[in-house]
Amino acid sequence: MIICTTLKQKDLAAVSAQKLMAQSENGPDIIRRYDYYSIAGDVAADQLISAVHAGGGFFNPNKHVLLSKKSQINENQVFFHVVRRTPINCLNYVRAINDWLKKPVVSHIFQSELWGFFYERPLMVAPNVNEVMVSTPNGIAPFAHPLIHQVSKISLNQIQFANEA
Amino acid sequence: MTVAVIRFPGSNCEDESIQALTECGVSCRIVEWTSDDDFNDFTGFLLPGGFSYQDRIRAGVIAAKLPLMNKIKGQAKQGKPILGICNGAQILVESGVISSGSTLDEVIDFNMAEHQPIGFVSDWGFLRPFNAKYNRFLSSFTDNDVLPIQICHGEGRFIFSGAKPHSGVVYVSMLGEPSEAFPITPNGSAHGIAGVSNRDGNVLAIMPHPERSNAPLPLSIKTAAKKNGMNLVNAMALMNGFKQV
Repeated sequence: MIICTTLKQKDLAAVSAQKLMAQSENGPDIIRRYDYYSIAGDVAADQLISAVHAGGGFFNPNKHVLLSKKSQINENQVFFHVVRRTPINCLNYVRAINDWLKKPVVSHIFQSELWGFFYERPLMVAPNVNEVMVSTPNGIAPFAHPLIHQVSKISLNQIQFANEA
Repeated sequence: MTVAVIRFPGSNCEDESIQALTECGVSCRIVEWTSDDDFNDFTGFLLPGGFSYQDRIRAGVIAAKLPLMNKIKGQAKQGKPILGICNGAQILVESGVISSGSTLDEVIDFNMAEHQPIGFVSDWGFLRPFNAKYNRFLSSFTDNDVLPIQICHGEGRFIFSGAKPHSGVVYVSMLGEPSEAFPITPNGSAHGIAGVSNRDGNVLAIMPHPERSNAPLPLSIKTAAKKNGMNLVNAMALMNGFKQV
């Protein structure tokens, strides 16, 4: 099951990235960043979302918007998913959710990043993942390091959101 | 002979770097990241520690992509000495000043122990140079010297695409024994690496803080060193790398 969060206020990482990418020919006009949580376990979606709301560790209702279905995200973005080559199970989040649910039903929470690129102009050529996402000594892209991350271009339909699972 | 200490938004070790350079007899001044100077009049560059751009995305990556870093790269190619400490090291690595090719050969990722992130580390540790003679900042030392040093970072774990670099510093015990295990290597760094040299030996990216090494050693370290007959060497001598011609 997938849950995303995004900041209510301006995300300064996205703002900095946007400023950098403005130098690139294929740079987007606006960049949005989403934290992407892939959650594995034997738990119903509504229970899980209640637990996340109540104190799942990675969601603060004052700071974040919780996104658990496709319709909550603007489709007019080109999405890039940046995943660690060696995923790390966020045990503190697993513990927090299981504690709230009072049973050890969640086994894994893997955190990754979803970057949304808005283009106000029509695109002649689709942006190349390596060019706009992967860091090189001479490139401008800051989003993924080739030794740590893997990047893929994805569509919203490929994301199995918690409320649509 | 003037060394530029580059201040990025979020740097916080520039004053102590200036103090350390001054104590070593190196003339220096702070240069802002927005400077349009061509840098040709400077004889060396120090990128100090801190949290440039709040460590957004990855520590050092935003600063690494600034136009200023292209000038620093040009100066590195001319053979001028460049020292990056902590966040400065992260910026050097992210900008490719340490790498030799068209891809990034190394990265500094967040601290880990036993496959789990361990957060920020703030402690004393010990370093030992390897192939010291190949880097101008390390050439004041021998490969047997043990340097007590302050460690203060949340992202200090080196990852390399290839073999161990040819010159740099590794974390060791007080007796000079290297180990990749926690707590001697406090962040899970590959090969226990704490700092790396570029291939030409004029650039050093080091995570612990040599500029703080004139601070008094904790009594526990002094006592243990005395008990073991260890002659600990002051890491401030790294700054002498700016003096050589």
